[in-house]
Amino acid sequence: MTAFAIVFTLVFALVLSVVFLLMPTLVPRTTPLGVSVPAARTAEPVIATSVRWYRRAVVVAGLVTVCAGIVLSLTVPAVAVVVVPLLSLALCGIVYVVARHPILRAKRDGDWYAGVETRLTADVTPQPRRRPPYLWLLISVVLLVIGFGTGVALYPGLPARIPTHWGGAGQVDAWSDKSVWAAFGPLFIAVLVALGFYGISWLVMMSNGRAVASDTPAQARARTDAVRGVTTSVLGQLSVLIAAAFSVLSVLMWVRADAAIGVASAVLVVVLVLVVIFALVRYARAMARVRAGADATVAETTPERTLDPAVGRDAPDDDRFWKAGLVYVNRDDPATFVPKRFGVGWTVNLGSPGGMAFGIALLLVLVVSIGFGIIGSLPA
Amino acid sequence: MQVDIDPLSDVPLYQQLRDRIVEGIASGQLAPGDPLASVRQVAVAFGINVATVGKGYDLLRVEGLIRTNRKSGSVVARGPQSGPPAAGFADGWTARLRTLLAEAVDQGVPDAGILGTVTTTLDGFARARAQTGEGSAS
Repeated sequence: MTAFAIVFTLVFALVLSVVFLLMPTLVPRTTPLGVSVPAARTAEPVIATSVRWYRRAVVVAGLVTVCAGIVLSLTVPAVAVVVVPLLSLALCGIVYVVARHPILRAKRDGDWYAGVETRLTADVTPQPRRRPPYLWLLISVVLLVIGFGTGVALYPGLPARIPTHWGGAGQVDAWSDKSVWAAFGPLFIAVLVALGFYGISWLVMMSNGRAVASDTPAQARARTDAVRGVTTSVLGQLSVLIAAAFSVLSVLMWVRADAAIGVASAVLVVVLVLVVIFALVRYARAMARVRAGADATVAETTPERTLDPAVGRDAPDDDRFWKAGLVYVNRDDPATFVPKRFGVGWTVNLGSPGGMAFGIALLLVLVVSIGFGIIGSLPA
Repeated sequence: MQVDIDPLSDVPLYQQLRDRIVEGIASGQLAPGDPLASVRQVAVAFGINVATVGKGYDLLRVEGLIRTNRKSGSVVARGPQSGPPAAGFADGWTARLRTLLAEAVDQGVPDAGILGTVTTTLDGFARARAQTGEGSAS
C-alpha cells in the first residue's frame, strides 16, 4: 500500500503540474491567467512577469505536494491517496488566484479598456451537425463483447467466493459470493462508461462553440472544429481504454492471475497519462494553428465592414462574471456550459438554472465520495 | 453568417442584431429560404439574454424579413429578388431616411458626398451579392 501511495502521489503531482504549466500556452492570448485583456495589451510586461511567477509557483506547489505525499504515504498511506490529489489541486488553484492579481491591478490602474472597441461575435445561421466518430465506440463494444464472452465461458468454473477488490500491491482485500453482479459488475460499469462518453461526444458535437472576438469566421470554425475533434477523440480513447482495462482485469480476476493484476494496473495508469498528455499536446498544436491563421487572415472580413486590423477586435471585459477567475456566474447568459476560462473543456454557468442544478449535483457527488473515501480509509 | 454586436454601444443589442441580419440579406449572405439559428441558440452563442435575441427576431418578423414556424424554425422570408416591397413600407422608410439625410446635411456633408456614399453602399451590396452568388454556385 505504501509503495502504491508513493507512486500514485508522484504520478498525480507530476501530471497535474505539467497540465498547469502548459495551461498559459493553451488559453487565448487575450485571457492570460484568466484575466480579460485587450489584444493591444497582450505584450504588457506585467503579463509575462505574472505568468513566469505562476509557473515557478506551480513547480514549488508540485514539490510541496510530492513531499507531503511521501510523508503521508509512509505514515497513513490510505489517507495519502485521498488527500494528495485535493492538496495538489488546492495549491495550484491558490497559485492561479494569487498569480493573476498583478494583471488585474495593472488593468484597473491603467484603464486598459478605455477607448477599446469591443464586440460579441456569433453565427446566426445554424451550424451543420455532425455525428461524433463511432470508431472508438465500436472498438469499446468489441472489447467488452470479448470480455463478456470470456466471462460467460468461465462463469460455471468460478469458485463460490470471488475476489472483488485488490490492494495496491495486488493482494485481494475483499471477497464476495459468486453472482452475476460480482463477476460482471466491472464490465457493466464499462458499458455504462462507453455509452456515457459517446453521449457526451454527441453533446459536444451539438454544442455551439462560443467565438473568440478576434476570430474571423474561418478561425471561429477552425477553433470549434479543433475543440470538438480533440474532445471527442479523447473521450473515445478513454472509453476504449476503460473497456480494455475492465475486460483484461475481469479476465485476470476470473482466472485468479493476481500477480498480473498489479502489472496490468500499472500499465493502465501509464497509458492513461499518455492519453491525457497526447491530447493536451494535440490541443495545443491545434490552437497554435488557429492562432497562426489569425495573424494571416486578420484582414479577411465581411465585404461590408472592413475593420482595420490595427484597431484590433476585442471581446468586452467579462472578468466580473468570473468569480476569482474560476467560477462563471452570469444570469443573462442562457448557456448551461461555457468554455473554461483557464483550462481545456467546459465549465458550468452557475447563473443559469441548468448550471445551478448541475453545480449542486456535482457538489453533492464530491462531498459524498470524499466523505465515503475518508470514512472508508479510517482504521476500523 | 457571423455577426458582430457591440455590447457597449448606445444602440440596443436587439436593434444591432436586427440591423446586421438586414444587411446580411442585402449583401446576399442570407438568401430567402436560408434557416436562422433558433433564438436560444443565438443567445447561447453570444452569451446574452434570450429575450434580447427574441426582440430582434420579432422586429424582423414584423418587417416580413423572416418567418417562423414550429417545424422549420426561423427562415429568411424575402430578399432583393422577392418582388416589390409591401404596401406601407415606403412611408416609414422614407421618414427614417429623411432623418438620416438631415443628419448629414446638418453636419455639412455636401449633397454630392451623400449621394456618393449611397452609391458606394449600394454597389457594395450588389458586388457582395454577386460574389456570394458565385460562391454558393461553385
